[in-house]
Amino acid sequence: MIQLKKIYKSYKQGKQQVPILHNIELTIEQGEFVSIMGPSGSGKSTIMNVMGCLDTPTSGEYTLEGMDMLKGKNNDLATIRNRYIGFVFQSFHLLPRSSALENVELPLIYAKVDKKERKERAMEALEKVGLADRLHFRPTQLSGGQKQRVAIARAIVNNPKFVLADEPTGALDSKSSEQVMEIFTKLNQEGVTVVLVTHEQEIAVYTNRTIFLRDGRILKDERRAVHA
Amino acid sequence: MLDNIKLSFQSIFAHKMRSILTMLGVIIGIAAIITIVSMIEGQKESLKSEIIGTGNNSVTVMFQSDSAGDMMSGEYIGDVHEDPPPDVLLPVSQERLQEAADIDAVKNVALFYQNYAEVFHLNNYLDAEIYATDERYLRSFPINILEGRKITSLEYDKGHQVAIINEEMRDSLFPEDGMALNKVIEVNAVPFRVVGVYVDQKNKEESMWMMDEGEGKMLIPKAAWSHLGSFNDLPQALVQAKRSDDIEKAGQAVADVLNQEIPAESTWHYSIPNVDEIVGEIEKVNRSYTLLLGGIASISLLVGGIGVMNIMLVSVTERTREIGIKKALGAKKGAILAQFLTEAAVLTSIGGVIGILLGIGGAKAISHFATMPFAIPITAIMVSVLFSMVIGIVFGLLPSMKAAKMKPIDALRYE
Repeated sequence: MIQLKKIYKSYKQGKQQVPILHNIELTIEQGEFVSIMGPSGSGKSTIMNVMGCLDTPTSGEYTLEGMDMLKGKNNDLATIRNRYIGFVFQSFHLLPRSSALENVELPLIYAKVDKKERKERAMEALEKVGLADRLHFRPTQLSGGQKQRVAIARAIVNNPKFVLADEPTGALDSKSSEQVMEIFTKLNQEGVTVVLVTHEQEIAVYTNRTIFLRDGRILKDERRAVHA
Repeated sequence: MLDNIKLSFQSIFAHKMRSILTMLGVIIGIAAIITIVSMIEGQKESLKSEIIGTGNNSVTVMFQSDSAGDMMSGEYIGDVHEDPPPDVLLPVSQERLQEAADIDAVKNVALFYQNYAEVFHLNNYLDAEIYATDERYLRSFPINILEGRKITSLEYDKGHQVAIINEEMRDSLFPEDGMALNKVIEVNAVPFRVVGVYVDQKNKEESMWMMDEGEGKMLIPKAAWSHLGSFNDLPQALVQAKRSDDIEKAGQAVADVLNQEIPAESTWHYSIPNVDEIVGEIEKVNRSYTLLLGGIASISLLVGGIGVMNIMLVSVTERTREIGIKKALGAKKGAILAQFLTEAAVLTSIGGVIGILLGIGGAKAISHFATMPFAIPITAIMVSVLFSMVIGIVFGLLPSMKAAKMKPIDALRYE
């Protein structure tokens, strides 16, 4: 469970403090499939980064699975990211000089999984996203959709409870987007909590809860029946 | 760790030009150090072999006062007579000699006497080196007879006053006709009959220590030495080792055996020349050179290290995104730190290895063109590799810390 209480965040711009999040109150239960929408600058990516322990709010409380995330030291946060959270980014963020397999293995290296198991699990994850035949391709040899699927494989390889995706389809054509969203849907059906940031309505309809943000405030929190 | 090393090689080879230029400082520094050390070591080694060995793995064990060890001080050569005479002078028994000869490292042991004296024939004379030896001795220093014959076993045993002389002595004592055989020459007014003219089978290689080129020499039976009366009668033992590495060991072992007969209170003992001390004197002269060149090499290494730091900072900046990704995926500070430290250490280690190879090549080239000896000490090589690694780690620390401390979100956002 993700629980945000009175999250306030501001950036320093020159001499001014520019607020980006205002007292966000948000709870996401285990197994939800959530989209966060809003125009650019509305703070949707910042919320995601706070949830992913990549960024810290100026004030407020954040608990993940009952653990206080704002008291954790950097190295504890690294462990939590590694064990509980899988990230998917708009621009994939794959290591350019490593193969698909090596990219997917990366989180397992930090989890200190031994080499043999590492490889097996990485291959399994790539199979799950339909890239079993691209194991040794480098990112430059893959299409955008394939790159994003490698990134998803990497996000799920350590069996996280949460997958956080920041505009995962932002750089993809509609067919690839569809494939990616199907994978997310399947993941969610398996019990993984998926939170994604998007500004496309077509993407949001895959989810069963949409949170609208504007100027750092939650405008609407909308639940709908599961997409067929 | 292995993964880190693999990654390091990947990123070093991804920027070949940059990596080579960065390594250059380390390469030059290490190469300079290896060259210098090789030259100095070579000089030391060759000096050592000149002092101790005569080209056939032999060393002379001398019976001398314990205070006369330092040959270089001139005490031994100049003031030997002012030393107290030996308080005990025992003949070496046959058993002791055999015991010495049976030592593992020893190939041959022979007792002999040696001194300089003026040798006369009629109105001709020359300053010559007299060796009183036996057949054992000639096993280690074989001779060729040019005229006449060798000294026979009987003559050796009985101490007959016969001599074989070298060509220089023949030419000086018999300038008119060179007919030396069966002539009588005098040493210390003691007559010796010339029975042969000889030449050393293997001329000693040019030696700056034994300035004995063109010197008169004569060999007489060891048993005849006592006839020469007033002569310095301190025995010496020639020790020939089986292997060149064992010269000192063999010499010391023989000295130990011979010393068993010397009473404990005696201040005279058999000993080998203290090579380390002599070499140490020469090293003092070398030291200022070493300091100067070592200083230059150190500055080069320092500059090289700063170059490494510089390029690692560039590398960290370039790979900010990569660092962000890794942190997002759960890399701890230590993992990032280790990655960049390894890269810096691998970079400088490669530089170190190239530097060592260049240094060895340089030393070989110099020794070839300047006909100077060189020796490559293994320890220097290992220290160099370690040292270049340490340079990488020390100068890589700042950039690596910078990488490790990055906040994941800032690193990911970096364009």
